[in-house]
Amino acid sequence: MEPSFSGTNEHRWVPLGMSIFVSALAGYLILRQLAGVYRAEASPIDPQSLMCLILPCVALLALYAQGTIWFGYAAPTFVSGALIFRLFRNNWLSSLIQSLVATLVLYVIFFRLLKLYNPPGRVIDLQIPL
Amino acid sequence: MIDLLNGFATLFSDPMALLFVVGAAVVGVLVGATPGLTSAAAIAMLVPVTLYMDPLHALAALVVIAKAGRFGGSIAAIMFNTPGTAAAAATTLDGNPMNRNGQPGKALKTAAIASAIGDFIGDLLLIFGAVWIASLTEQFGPTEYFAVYLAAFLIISTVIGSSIIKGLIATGAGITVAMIGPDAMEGTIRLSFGIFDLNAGLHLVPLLIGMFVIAELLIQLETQSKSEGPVSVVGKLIPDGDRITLPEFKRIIPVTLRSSVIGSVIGILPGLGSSVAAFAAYGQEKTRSRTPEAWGQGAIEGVAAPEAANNAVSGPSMIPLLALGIPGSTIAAIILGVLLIHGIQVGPGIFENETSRQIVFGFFAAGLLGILTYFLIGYFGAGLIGRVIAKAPTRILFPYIFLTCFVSAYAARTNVFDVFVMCIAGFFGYIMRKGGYSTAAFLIAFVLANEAEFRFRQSLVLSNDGILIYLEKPVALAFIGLALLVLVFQIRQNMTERSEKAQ
Repeated sequence: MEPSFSGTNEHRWVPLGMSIFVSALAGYLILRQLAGVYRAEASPIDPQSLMCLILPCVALLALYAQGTIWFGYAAPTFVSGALIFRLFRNNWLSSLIQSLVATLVLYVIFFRLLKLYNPPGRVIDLQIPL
Repeated sequence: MIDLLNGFATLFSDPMALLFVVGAAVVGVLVGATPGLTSAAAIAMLVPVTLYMDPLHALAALVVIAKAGRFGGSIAAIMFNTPGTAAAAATTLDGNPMNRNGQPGKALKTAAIASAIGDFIGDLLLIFGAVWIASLTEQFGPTEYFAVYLAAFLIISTVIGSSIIKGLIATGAGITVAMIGPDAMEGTIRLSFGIFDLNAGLHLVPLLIGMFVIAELLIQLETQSKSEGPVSVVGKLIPDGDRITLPEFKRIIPVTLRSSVIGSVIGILPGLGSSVAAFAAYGQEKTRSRTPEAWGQGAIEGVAAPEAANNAVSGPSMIPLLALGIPGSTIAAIILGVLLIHGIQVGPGIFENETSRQIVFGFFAAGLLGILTYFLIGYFGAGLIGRVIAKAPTRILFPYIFLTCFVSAYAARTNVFDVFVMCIAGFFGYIMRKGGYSTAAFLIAFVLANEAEFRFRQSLVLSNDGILIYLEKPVALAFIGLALLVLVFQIRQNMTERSEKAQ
């Protein structure tokens, strides 16, 4: 007897099924909310925090990653590190010093001790001379 | 038993493994005691480092961090009234009043004793239960396995949060994200949208770090911009108030033992977690108590019950992982990822293969040794740790963690694309947590999805009746029935709660 499951597009079934399932549930939640049956608790996301703090922070991390592709590990880590320390309300001098320490410590742990491949910069390759 | 002794022999003959156990216990207690940091976050960050380690060292370090981190949460709960972990939330109810009453040392020692006993009982259940269940599941085929996965998805979705629909959405999203990359049967690339880096699929590590560490740091960043750091309000110290007297010891032991049993049973059920166990044990013991009015005012039993229960969850939550390959908690899901990365297949076969058997029993032995280590640290040094944490500036600690996350995400595959994945996962993790969607359900679904799909399609290929094969196999039918039963029960319970609230 021929197995019942022998189509050529089998690989699409599960992701398609899951997408429909998730969309349907999300749609149901939205409809219930619109109909007033279900009321989400007062939005816990503070729009001001989201726009002024969270999104800039995520963008900074993404820029940091892009910076690593362009300039290698050291310079983007130092610059992004200083900005991240500053975001956590450290003063500029402390942020710069802490960032320098963090850049060196992580370099030694990951690239020297664990012998991780140090990504070279595609535009300018600024390596730590250690 | 002999295997366990061999596990101890392996551990004691390897000084590096011992060093990892002790180091992990210290790190775990410190991380757990820091409000805003969880042991899951610490483990997520350390997973890339463990890729460069021996499998036993890696597993020993991770499991001990998880155990010690659970106990560490009690330090923050008692001293700062801020549970370091969700599991320690119930400990604040009586632990912090004891601190305010001038008995912080007694509360911390009680937490250390109860946690160690609870963890030990849970681990005994793990050691004997996993081997026994694995022997029962040896005959499982793809149909039974898919039924088990389906049951896990449904049970975790329904019990992990307050909303079943949100749980199902989180699980569905985890499965969908796991579908990116080559499909489990034919290797056809799916959902890559022409992006080359997506062809190999998403790696667990950047998702883990994003969802559990970056999301948490974003929440902490938001919180810090509005509030000050943790403050410990200790009442006037009672002379000799740190010593646990014999009558007190006699009172806490039965409470600890009963709560350990509650925690162990809850631990076996996937998705419920240690905070449920802690509150269940607290409620149960308060009901049994002859002086329930003293609970909430600094009752010593009120610290012992939740601490024993939340630590007892740790071992049994690994039973479904080792015996069936189903992680019942976030930490179990991370450990599953580490086992798979190291080429160790979980499921019944784990106890048949000599190498994996040795590693697993070494892992059990490391867990037991880890309990002893964190007990000693907690009993003699918890107060000191609490004072250090109170002085540690999180405004310096958290940026270091941010930068470590970046390098850790890169380290998983030495691919900067993974760092972008981590950023996106971090942002979605933040949105999910704020919106009440379980990141744990997402992660567990992500880890299991490919294997579940493979078993599903494999069983359909073997079937002549299509999907009806699930009705023909009694074991598969029983698992699906169990999942539906839990779903219906949970829907009913939610409806009852809603109608009670409306009244």
